[in-house]
Amino acid sequence: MLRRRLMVAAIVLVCWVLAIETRLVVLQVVQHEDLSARAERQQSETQKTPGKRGEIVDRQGRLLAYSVDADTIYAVPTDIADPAAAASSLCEALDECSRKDRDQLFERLSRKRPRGGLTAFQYVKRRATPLEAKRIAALELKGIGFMKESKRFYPNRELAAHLLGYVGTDNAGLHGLEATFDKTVRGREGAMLVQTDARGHAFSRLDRPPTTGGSLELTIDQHLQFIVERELKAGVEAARADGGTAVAMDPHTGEILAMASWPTFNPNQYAGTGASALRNRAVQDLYEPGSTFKLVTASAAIEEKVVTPDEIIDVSAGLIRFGSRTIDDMHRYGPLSFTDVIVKSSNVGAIKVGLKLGPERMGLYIRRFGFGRPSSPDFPSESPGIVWNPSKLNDSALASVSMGYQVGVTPLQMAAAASVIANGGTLYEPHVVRATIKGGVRTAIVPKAVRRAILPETAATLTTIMESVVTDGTAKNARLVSYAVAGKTGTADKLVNGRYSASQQNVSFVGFVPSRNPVMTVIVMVDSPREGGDTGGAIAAPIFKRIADASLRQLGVTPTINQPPPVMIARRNQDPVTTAAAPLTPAIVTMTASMTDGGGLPDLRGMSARDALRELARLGLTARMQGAGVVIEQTPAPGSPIEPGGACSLILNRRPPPRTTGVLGDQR
Amino acid sequence: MARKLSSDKWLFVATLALICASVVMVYSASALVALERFQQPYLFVSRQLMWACVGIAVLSIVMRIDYRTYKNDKLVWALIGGVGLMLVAVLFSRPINGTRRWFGVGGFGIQPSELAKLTAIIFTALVLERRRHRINELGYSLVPIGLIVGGLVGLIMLEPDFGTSVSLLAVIGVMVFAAGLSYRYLFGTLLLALPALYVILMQADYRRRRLLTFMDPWADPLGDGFQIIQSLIAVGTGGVFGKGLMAGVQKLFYLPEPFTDFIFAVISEETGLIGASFVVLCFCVIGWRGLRTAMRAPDAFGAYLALGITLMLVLQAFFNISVVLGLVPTKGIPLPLVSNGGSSMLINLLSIGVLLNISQHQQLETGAA
Repeated sequence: MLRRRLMVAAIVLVCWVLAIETRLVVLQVVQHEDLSARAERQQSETQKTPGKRGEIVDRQGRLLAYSVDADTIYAVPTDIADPAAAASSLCEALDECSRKDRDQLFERLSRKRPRGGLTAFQYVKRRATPLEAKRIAALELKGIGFMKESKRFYPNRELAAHLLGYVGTDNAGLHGLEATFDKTVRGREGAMLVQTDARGHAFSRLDRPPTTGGSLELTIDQHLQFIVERELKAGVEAARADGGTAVAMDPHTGEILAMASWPTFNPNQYAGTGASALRNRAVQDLYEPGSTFKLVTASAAIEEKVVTPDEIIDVSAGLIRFGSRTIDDMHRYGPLSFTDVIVKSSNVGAIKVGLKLGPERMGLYIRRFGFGRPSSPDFPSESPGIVWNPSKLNDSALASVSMGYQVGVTPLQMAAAASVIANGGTLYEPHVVRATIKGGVRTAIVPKAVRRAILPETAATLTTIMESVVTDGTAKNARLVSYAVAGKTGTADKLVNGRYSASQQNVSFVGFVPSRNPVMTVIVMVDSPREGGDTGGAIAAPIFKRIADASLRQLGVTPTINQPPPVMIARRNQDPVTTAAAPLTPAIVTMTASMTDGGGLPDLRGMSARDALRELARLGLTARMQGAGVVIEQTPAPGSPIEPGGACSLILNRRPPPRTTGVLGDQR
Repeated sequence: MARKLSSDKWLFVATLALICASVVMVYSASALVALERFQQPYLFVSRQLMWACVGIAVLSIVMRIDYRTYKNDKLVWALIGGVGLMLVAVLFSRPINGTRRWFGVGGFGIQPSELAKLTAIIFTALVLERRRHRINELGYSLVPIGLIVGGLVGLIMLEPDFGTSVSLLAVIGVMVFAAGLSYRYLFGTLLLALPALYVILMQADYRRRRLLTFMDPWADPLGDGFQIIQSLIAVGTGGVFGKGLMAGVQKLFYLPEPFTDFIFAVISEETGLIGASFVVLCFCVIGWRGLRTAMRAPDAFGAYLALGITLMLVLQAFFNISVVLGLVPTKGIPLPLVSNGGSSMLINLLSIGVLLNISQHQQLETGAA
């Protein structure tokens, strides 16, 4: 009896054990994930700390944007015994802390969670100044901690502001390249996991440190960018215009050397900046180009052999009618060669050629030059532009398009199109990021040739015509003393409320220099000038001229006109070295210091700052510089004895002294 | 009386394993709580270790005392009288958490109900040995058992300690069943017990809430379902291998009573399916060796005593584990040999000492047969 009954009891117990084990497996294996997630939710609060953003540097590695570590001060309210006292002593240590701020801090320190406990994490001050952090650390308050958060810093303030953009409080790029390349530049987020017990006490903190993001190397040259911004600002302000933009581009690669817009802003303090100042006009502003677009008409006409440069076109009527619409020229001309149609920017002439081309071929070349679609992936905010379908173009519309109306383009598209002519016919994709650097590995971005747009011969013909525009035509203000310039002006009445305005114009100039071996294509566009004229030739061309002049000096490009003879460089105890120049494209550096026989201080006047510095460094002297541009004065005077380790003060100016007083003049 | 020196090794090893687990897990589960409440992280574990040592000493003495010594009417009645007095006296102690279960003696809490369980088992074993041939005669065997056990259970219920009462009733019930009680009585009792149980459950508000919570703990996760949900979360997060000793989080004020009633949840969280199953296995070994001892005991008293002690340990363990796993309604009952608690540890080890002694005899007896 006992035995049997015990077996029954044993069987019941075995069943019970099986139930327990099954339940264990269900909870610990089947529902493990679900229950762990529940545990996680109730046990921990995760606090994210943004990574440190990578640097943005120009093509020479000069810093344009970088991040510095700043102390962020946080509180663990459960560890604070007296929130009111803590709030008031914290508040005293902070720079700006009003009564209201203090009350707010107290409220956050004593805030309750839904189930009654205090919170485990509250910010006290994000990105505090070093002094604030030091003062608060000195308080030695319980429950107050520090962590590193990075703060974005733009050392050159407004320089390239539109291009770079800015960064918000949570470390996300909000504008410009900071936004476009946010993924690359932004580091991996760090996590501070605060685990809490049932009463909300923080009992462990797990840190995953944030990482630093990759760096961007731009195609921008900081010095050229500075020049472009300075001249654009000067030009726009002198013309009392609404705004303006200028882009300098390497026509052989599509690399953007400088890109500026006015008005501008300081990305270090972007808060409160208006939409107009934030706009990168070079890519976001769509405008009717006007006469600069005649370059496309002319390229198409010459490539398609519709006209030859010397073909005479009768524009003597001075106007052309399409039904009730009359289009006229600014001046009356007699019969003009096609070259002169462009040089004098005759609307009637361009229209006649455009009509001969027909809508199909016109449309084809507009597309070939890259209009009608965003030109660069580096600027996702770029407008594609407006280009009509050729089949929808009647004669009147085609006439408009031939002279640059009824098409919408961005300044960057126009610069890329002019670069096609500059480089011999290839359309390059404009780009501004030259390389990304991540973890010490530099990944270069290869220039991208989109397509051959026109034949080299066409490009050469156009270049000659554009040179004439500068020498004899509407763009005489763009002429440089030492370099041959090719360019085209544009003046377009702005569309205001659907009607072309008589008083507001978009005036522009696009050109490249030196014309036969161009170093840069520059476009200048000024929005609604009010003073000093209302044409591209009057307003935009001079800005171009100053930009090109300073930039070419900065780059040390050999003058192509008024060329100096080859220079003999003689040094004591050395054989004379003759550097010969090729007849057409002299390749020697002509800015050379002349050494006096006594070995005294060379004459540095007329040299660029860079060359003067190089020279002084070679002699073992330190330089003190004042101003920017070209050396106009030096102390000690040229020929003074050199004291090893001595110093030389240089005064620089944007405008070079008259050539006759320069080094070269002396030698001649 | 001849006695073989070798006792049941399996039983002893399983007991020892559970005591070791107890010391480790009580430390893990209590260190932070003890640190916060008393600024002494080792407070609970040092006491537990001390009681374990005392318990092992008592065990090794008791296992050398012939269990037939307890087959003594005077001794048993003295025990019943003493325990009864203590159970009455404890009702006048200072309440802890709304219950009066402990005597404070020299800084240690002593729980008379633990001793009451052993007393009731010895008494029942004695009665059953003498009267099991007429087990189905109500007045002859069942009424005396019912009176004494019922009296003790009644006193325990007054504390109140529903868990201990129910487990004691279950142990005595199975003992009587093993003695050959007719199934008629069994079902009859069950039929009578169900309405009684219903009344008992429903008259106390906290018992009713616990029962309803058991049906659907997620209905009120922050209120009544909180305890059981926290327990399930602890077990679930353990996974197969656990989070590692000391690494559990649920013991930090999420779990109610993490080092007593819910220590199995902490074991499950920190050592996973493997550790939890090991503890279950240890109790299975105790159950298996205990029942084996009961079957092979030389006399009926030894058999019933062995059965009662085995059931006291195993039923209570399974109850406790089932509570932790949400298989039965929440009920305050510690895990024998593992949960923190001096008197429970002492009495349980003492009982195992008796069991080991019985196991020595049975081997001689079977060997001779």
